[in-house]
Amino acid sequence: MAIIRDLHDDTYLAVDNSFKAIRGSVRPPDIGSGGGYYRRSLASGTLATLTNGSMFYAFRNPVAATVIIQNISVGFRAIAGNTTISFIVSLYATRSYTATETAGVATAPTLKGGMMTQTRATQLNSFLRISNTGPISGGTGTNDSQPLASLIFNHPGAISNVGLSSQTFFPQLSGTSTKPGGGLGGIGTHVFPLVLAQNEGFRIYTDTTPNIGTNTVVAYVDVDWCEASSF
Amino acid sequence: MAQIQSGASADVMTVDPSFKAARVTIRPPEVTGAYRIALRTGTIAAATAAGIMGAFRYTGTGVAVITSVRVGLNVLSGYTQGSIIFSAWITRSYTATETTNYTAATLTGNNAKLRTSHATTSAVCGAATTAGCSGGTGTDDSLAIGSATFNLPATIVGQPVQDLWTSSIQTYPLVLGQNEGFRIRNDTAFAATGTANVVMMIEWFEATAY
Repeated sequence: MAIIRDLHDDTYLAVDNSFKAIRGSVRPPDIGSGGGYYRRSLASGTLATLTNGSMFYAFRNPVAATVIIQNISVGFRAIAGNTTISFIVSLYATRSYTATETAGVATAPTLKGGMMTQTRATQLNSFLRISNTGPISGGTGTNDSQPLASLIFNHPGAISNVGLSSQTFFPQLSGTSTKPGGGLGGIGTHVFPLVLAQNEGFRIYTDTTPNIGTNTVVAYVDVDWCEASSF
Repeated sequence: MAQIQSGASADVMTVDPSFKAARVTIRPPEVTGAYRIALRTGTIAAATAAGIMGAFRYTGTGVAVITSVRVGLNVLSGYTQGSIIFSAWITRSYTATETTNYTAATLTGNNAKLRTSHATTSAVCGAATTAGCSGGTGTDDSLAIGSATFNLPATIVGQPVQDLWTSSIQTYPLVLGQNEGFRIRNDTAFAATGTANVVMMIEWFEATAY
């Protein structure tokens, strides 16, 4: 028989009466010293030239830290247009990243903010980049042959200024799955997160064309991640 | 009286003072590899009969644990208004993978890995081209394990991805042994006139045992 006591403040672990279960208080992933928890929401400019295979978002881990991707969601605003179209947005794993993309708007490692707790590292290491008015390019990483995940959106055509609700690539990790147990999803519960080593990342593409005719959109991409010494 | 100390360091477990709860961080299962893939069919013709839109087969000697299967419709042209149901079916005794109307995914090397250091997958999967695929020799169960219904709209309206099946920490996942798998089928025919791509997502991990 053992009674478990906290060495730090003399608190005793409780066992619940009904199910005789020990109480657990679930904590975020351990990131070691020097890591941090981050969240960034980026908006593109007004995009008018996205076609089949246009990259509009890129994320790269350029340092030795392990990056754990906890959620990625994408939404759009249909600004103007004339053609109703259904289009696919896909997430690709990128490996052997030797040069970061050049076009678009970057969130550079020197830019602070987006950290979810003040007590951790105050400067993120990862590169994030979103399109300005057209596709981004210039990176040298190699994508997988198939996407890790895909989403489907509708541009409503002539109806302008319509929101295309955000969807997540990782519904189980973000707890938005519609099937039983989905709400209990979370990093490490029973599914594996996307784990990025140095010079790995991901890119988001339109896999079919949203900018038919005069259709324009603004893209919104939210990413939750942490940078850890190991995982 | 006991304190729990790490076997790898001098760290001692904390018990929260208010609820007397032990602090825990939940980790993923022990795996040889974790994977995700999104498959897309070609342009599925109008009035395509009920059939197989995607197939997954595990060929390794351990187990493949399927944690989610999702499907959506990228509508390319409007249908004679209708609806359709997609389902996931467990396939046993899979001795030959589909061959007809079938495009196999590239799963060599690092493809589909959620972590590059993981092993290359021992699964094979693929999607239909422009009609239901065939040629596989596995035997499907009599009943599906998950389904999702979609509108087949008269005008172009994409049908966002839905869960066909997901597992959680409270439900048992689909655990596949060697030469077992599952198929994603349209259980009803596509309506006339319209066309679409079927988008399918599969999430799984492989382990020596589960």
